[in-house]
Amino acid sequence: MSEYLLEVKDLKMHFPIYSGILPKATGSVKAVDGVSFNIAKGEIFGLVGESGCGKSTTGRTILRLLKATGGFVSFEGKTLFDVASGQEMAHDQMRALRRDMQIIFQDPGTCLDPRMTIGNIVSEGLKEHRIARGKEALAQAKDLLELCGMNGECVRRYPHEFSGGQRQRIAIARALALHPKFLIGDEPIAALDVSIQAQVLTLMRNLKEKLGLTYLFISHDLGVVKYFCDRIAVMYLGTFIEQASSEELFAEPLHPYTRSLLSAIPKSHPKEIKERVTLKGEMPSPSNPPEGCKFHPRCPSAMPICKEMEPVYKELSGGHFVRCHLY
Amino acid sequence: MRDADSSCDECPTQSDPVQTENSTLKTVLNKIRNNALAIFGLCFLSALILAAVFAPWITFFDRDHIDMALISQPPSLTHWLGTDELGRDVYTRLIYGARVSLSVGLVSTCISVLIGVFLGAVGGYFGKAVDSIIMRTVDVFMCFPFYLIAVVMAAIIGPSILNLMFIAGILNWPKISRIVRAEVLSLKHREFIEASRALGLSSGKIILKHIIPNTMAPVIVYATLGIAQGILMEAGMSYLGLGVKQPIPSWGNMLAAAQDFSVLVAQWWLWIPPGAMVFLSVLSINFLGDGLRDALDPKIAE
Amino acid sequence: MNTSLIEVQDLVSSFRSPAGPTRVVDGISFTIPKGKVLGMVGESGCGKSITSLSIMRLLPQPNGFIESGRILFDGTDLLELSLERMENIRGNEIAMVFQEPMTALNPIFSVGEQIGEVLQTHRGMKGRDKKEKAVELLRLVGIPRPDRIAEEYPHQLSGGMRQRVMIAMALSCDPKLLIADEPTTALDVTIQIQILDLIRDFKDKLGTSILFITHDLGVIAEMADEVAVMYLGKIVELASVCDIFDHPSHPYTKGLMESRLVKKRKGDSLICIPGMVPSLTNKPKGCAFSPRCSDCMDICRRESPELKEISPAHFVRCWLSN
Repeated sequence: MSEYLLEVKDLKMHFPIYSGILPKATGSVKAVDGVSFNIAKGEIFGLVGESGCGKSTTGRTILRLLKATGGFVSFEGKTLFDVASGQEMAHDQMRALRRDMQIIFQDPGTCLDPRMTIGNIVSEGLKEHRIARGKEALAQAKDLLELCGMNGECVRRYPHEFSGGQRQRIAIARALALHPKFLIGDEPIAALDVSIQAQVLTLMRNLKEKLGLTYLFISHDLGVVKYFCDRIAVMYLGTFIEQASSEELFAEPLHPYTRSLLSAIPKSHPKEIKERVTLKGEMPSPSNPPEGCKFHPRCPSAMPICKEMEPVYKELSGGHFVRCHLY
Repeated sequence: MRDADSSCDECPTQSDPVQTENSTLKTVLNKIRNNALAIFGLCFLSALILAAVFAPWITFFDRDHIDMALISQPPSLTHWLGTDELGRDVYTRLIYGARVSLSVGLVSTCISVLIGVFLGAVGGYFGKAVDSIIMRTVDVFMCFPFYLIAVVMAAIIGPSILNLMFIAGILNWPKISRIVRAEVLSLKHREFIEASRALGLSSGKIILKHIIPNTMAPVIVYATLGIAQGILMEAGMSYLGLGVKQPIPSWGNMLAAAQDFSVLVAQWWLWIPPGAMVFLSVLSINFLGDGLRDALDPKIAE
Repeated sequence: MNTSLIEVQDLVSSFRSPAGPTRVVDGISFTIPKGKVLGMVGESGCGKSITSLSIMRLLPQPNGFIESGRILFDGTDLLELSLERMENIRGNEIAMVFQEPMTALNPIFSVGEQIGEVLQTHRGMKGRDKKEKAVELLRLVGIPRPDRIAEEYPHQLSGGMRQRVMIAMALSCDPKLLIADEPTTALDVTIQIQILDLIRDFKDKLGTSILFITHDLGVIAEMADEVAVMYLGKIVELASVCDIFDHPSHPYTKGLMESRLVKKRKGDSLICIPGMVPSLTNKPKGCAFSPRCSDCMDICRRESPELKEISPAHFVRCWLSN
């Protein structure tokens, strides 16, 4: 029996690129290119990175909303899939396991079916998995909505009658309906106003304590991740380049990319003087990643070896991993 | 400042109506109310449907009653629209003709909507081979001129009201399936669809419960216009003798009387009423369809 | 001597609706001196974007209209100008950079052509001169290989590049005032810093005044000289940037400052502003913030406070400070 709730080994998600008339792929977008990590029960694991780094794809692939092209994922010791050996969890088993693993999305505008009432949206999972039906399902939906800070009477209304923050609460209620053990938040507060972000984040933290949840929190916002997460992994162009506990990552960032990310956070006071580590250029496209270390074209500390060989992801001190030739 | 832990669960949950992107039924009705043409269309069609349903109560003669003494009489107080070449009351036959036209329109539209929505949704959602096969079938169907095929099919399977419904139904589904497929292509990547998959719903359930209801707006508009198509098609085919056969009256076969030049010139009451009914019905449906389309388009302001 | 470039006095902008006009900007006044940056901060529905569109007289038609007020730009009231004269000013003396460059740029023209359009309209440049100047502008905003990028279309460029193109367009005619409406909200944090540095550089070189609209207090700390905090169509606090950060006086400003995660450690409880921004059609009676204010008094529910100066150049709209 594994000590970890979620184990991910060498996860890969390559999207083929087709050009020309022939059905053969001419290249691929390596959105996720070898990601490995474990999440313990009750932990909040943060996945941080800029747009195009593959963090959202990672979340979706773990949940099998996308079919991975490589790697291994297990949940509570049960293998979800192992591409190398062709092993895949049976359809029925996977469906049952979906109750334990749920996801909250970023855009409150499109995460709820505009044609369904709130009651039906939240109780859909209950009905699907035969946990409850009809009035009983609606009653449970009401309870869940109230748990998430909404008025139970809203079950009769439609999504467009609610604001972004409220819709996100409804989405959380929907995810909780099946009493999951594990929740992936894919930028759940990015699209919300600052004061509403604080409300939703507090709700998520309270729910974690009340219900004993484990989170994978995906975000591009370092401030949020620093506050909310226990451990954080930094992603760049499809791979993890650093991973550490939240305190250690911010106190002692090792990788040059992490350092520049942290230095790019805007000042917290007009008089503050910040040392900025500016990077050249922009993140290259994942369909054409650089040779060797993927970060070397932009790295202020690049060495000759960085162009030739990709560094190994190794553990330095207790739990602090880095992928860099400097170490 | 109140501490978040205690206050946020008690946050005032007034759900202030946010500027909505989707129309609710109320907004739709409001938009229609403001559209005079659509109102006209709706009124005329409602009157027509009521007349067709209550035909026995609003007509005074037997539909097929032949009176050889009163052949081709012009309109009078007893026969409001005169009599035809067999002495039958034109007004009565006109009202009963509405039943034929409306039912051909409605049933053929139902058939084409059922086929079109199903195939469009399945093709759009699953993509790849399934989509290719369906879309190539659509392409083939749309290559052929509608009336040519209709005439050939009617010649083969024989003229009757049921056959007309069938022909119109299977010739019109490609248009609807294309519209549905286009909607589905943009819908299937929306997050609420992904959320349903994460909940464990099968593809079939997702298509039925989530995808199809969200494609209904353009389908309703095209279905409405499809009814007009059905009416026109019935009129055309019956005029050519390939549709509804005597003694059942239909606007098309009543119009066929005008093939005789003397009728065309001297007995206007035999062909102008059915022609006018076809014209007004199609016009009304088009007005209503346009009004519905504007009403269901969330971007057009009230 | 008047060093203010633009002075807005009691601007009221509204939207017509079947239920009557709704005030989105409800009487705001501010000044921006030459070469300075005014940061306008607030959440959705506060009216900051509509303020910028009002200055440009580009309110969404047919329902948007300016009810009353004056906008003095270099001495002239913009609201009194003819449309033709206003068109001369837009893009030329007052330029605007938007949040979402993908929708602000025309997808069927290359970026070089779009910059060229501005140059042609306002400077009468044509042909090769126009092309060369466009490439030059792209180089100034830090775009690598500008001659090649000038031929590309917006969808071929990344978000950061598109925003640089927008800035190139905005600054092509050396405007006196730049209105930046959330220009970095959609960008990654490392690109955001590059764009903010770029804007700051231009400000220093050209002496452009900037109206910088954002919801991010960190960006305000980076860019602004003065700050106006908006809530439901009114300015609730107006002060220098240091004063806003050191001595926030309005409860809403205090709430925004406290909600910032950057100051929190793990485990600290998040102090948040309860409730939501009410809809503009349903404004509370008295002070607009009263339903969400923990220090709300009786008078707050009855009467709306005026903007009062509580210390030099520090204005607050709150009964607590009166």
